[in-house]
Amino acid sequence: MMHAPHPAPHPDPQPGEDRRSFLAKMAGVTAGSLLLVLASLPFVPGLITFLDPIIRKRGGRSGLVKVATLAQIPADGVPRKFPIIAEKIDAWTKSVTEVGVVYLRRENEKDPPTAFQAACPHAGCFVSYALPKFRCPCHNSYFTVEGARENPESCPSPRDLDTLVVEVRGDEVWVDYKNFVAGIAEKVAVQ
Amino acid sequence: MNVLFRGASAVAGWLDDRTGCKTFFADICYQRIPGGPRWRYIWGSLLAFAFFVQLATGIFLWMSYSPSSATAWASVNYISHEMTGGWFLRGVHHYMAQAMIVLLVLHMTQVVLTGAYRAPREVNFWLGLVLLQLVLILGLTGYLLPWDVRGYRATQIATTLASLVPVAGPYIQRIAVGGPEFGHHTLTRFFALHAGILPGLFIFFLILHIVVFRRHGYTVPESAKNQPAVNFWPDQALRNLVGCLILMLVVVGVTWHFHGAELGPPAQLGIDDASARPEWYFLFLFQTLKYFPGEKEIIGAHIIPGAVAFVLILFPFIGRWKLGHYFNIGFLFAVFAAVLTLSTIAITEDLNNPQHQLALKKIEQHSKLFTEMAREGIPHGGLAELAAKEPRWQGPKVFAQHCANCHRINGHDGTGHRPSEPATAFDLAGFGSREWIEDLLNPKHVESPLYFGSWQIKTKDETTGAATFETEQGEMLDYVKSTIGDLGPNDRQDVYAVAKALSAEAQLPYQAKAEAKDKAEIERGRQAIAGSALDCTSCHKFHDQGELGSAPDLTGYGSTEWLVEIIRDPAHERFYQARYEGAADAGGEISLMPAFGHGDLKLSDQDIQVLVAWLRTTRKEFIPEAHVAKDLAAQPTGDAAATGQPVAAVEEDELKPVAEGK
Repeated sequence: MMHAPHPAPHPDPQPGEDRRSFLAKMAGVTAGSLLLVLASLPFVPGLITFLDPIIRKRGGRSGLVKVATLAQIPADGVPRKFPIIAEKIDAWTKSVTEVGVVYLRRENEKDPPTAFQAACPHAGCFVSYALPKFRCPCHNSYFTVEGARENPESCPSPRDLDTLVVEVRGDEVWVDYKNFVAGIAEKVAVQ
Repeated sequence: MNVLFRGASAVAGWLDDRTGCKTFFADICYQRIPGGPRWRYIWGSLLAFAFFVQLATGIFLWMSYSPSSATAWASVNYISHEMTGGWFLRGVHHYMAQAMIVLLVLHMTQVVLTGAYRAPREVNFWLGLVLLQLVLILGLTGYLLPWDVRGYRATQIATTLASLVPVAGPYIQRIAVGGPEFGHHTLTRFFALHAGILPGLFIFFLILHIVVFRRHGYTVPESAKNQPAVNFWPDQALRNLVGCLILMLVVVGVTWHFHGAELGPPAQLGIDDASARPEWYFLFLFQTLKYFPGEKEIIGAHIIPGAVAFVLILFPFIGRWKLGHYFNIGFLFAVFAAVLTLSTIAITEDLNNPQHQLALKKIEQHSKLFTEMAREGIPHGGLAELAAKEPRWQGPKVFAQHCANCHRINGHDGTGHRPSEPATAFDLAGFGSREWIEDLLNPKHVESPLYFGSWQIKTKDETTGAATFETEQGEMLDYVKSTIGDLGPNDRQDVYAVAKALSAEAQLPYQAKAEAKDKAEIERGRQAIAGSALDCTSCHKFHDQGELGSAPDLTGYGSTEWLVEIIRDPAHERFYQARYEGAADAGGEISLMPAFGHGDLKLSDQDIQVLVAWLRTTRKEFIPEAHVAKDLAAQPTGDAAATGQPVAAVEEDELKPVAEGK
């Protein structure tokens, strides 16, 4: 910001001049603040719109999605990978597309399957299953077939694999698909 | 506080030693203004500020804009209607652009009036002309970016005009458009121009303009020459800043008032763009073109504007003589007068052109419709895919193309156009609604061109070849005229109950409320369809009463399923089988509805679905009796069933018509 420089010290200031210099100072301050206002004002409408993703929260994914039939999930405890096909809203575009991947696993015919979010809680890479455990290809986190970290002390992932709510309707398996915040010990759904 | 000042001062000193910034700003602040500060010196600063606002808002718009023919409209619509404050952001950018044009004109007028274009400021005058040109091109390129019908059509005209330039024209056009036709690359190119190249050039020329200006200083009026000189800071600076603030407030006010900038319906979807006009500051050019027909267009498009620009460039030389200066002033005002006159003519012509006003209204409806549709989410197939599934959009189009040869909607073809040929089948506005059925069962209306009056038998005179028309005297027409017409007062009440019961079969969404209320009467009507003096089921089937084959099934009459099926195969025994079979005996030529479910005229399932969905939203307009009487007297014409009162008026008429029909 610019400031009107103080006039050189006058040996014997006249009262009139004093007032004039005061007025000049006031004008300077006014002009300075106006300049500041005008320099920032044009950015205000843009900034509001720019911050739209924070201001206008569009609810996170919710609702159950049909993922598979029971017959597709072996009852021997080996996890099986399924894509989540759901409605996706991308600004103005709405489409039905793959929005994520889950692992479904069941140990017997009786109990409902368990669903694991395939994204690693560490940094979000998709884990792969290689008998008998899950492995994240990015930073080598290992999880047991139950989703627990194999070695919590040295595992890059801060928490076990995230489970998802499963509902069995007849022979259909529905999953409440959600994404979770990566990199923290607590399991928090992305809003 | 003092510590702070001292600290800032130290930093500034350190920086100044290395960059000279303090000296630079001091040079600006302590520029001497001979004759003191003046409000009239503010225009240049206002323009620079306006440009700054355009940069600030433009960059943020850029962050949400998507330049391709599939996404441009959708993204601008999303900015305007979904994003927080997006309408405001776009509005400020839009109206500030217009303000710049106004300010440019004011700035230039002042420069010419005060003779500030003369030596030694010739070069700066020319730099100003370059900036003016850049602002106009910025406006032109920006107008296309939303990809709405207006900007699209107006820009197409502009690029066509560019092609008129001798020799290079067609190449210029092709380069600007990025191919033979408007598409993705037109947008990417225009966007690069609008957001990159032109602002870059503008900044470059603006710096030159300011540097040269600082060399020569303000053009001080004679009267002020003996007044003391004053520093730019703060007195003149304050004036400039207050001016900028007022400008900003005006633009914000205008944006608020109009709730942002308009967005027309999307381009390239076959929307009628007859109302497309360039931005108001190009209207004079648009009007000029009307006076140069055919190949003379180049005169209006290039030669005259070119000549005017050439004279403007020569201003500094012409202005060397006192008389020349007056010539320049006269010339400039003559140009202004011409622009003003031409613009006024263009505006008045449009205001007095009912077709243009109608087109504008339609454009407004279409933009609302598309904004509503887009709110639901646009599929990957884009707006075209969305529109093809939308009854409000595709329905009238299918109707106009496939049905309006014979049918009408309140006398028009579904899109508002009134064919000159008379209708030869029912007017389907509000088909299946209470009003529609009541009028059908009304002896006074049944023979109107909206109903059986349209069923014409064409007889050709063997010798002269002239065709004569006669209303087909079918059983239903006869039934309504004589049987219903002769009903006693008690049975007449049944007609309304029957109409309501039959209408309830259609399950029209807009009647759901009334139907819930009139349950008892509807039930009475259902009984009356089979049981009363009306005896509908002697010809028609209604649920488990009556037989199929002789007349259309009344079960589910007007429902989605019923309509889809009759459109697919009207000759089916559920519908008009008897009429198709008996048509040959009627003598003369009867136009029968073709099947749309198979054969040459086959419509896709989706088209039939949207057509039916849309038909079920149309409402029957009240046609004044005088109108109907006149129509009956004359050969029915397409525009006979013209406009009238809204549907509500029907209710007043409700209990009278049967008695009057006798």
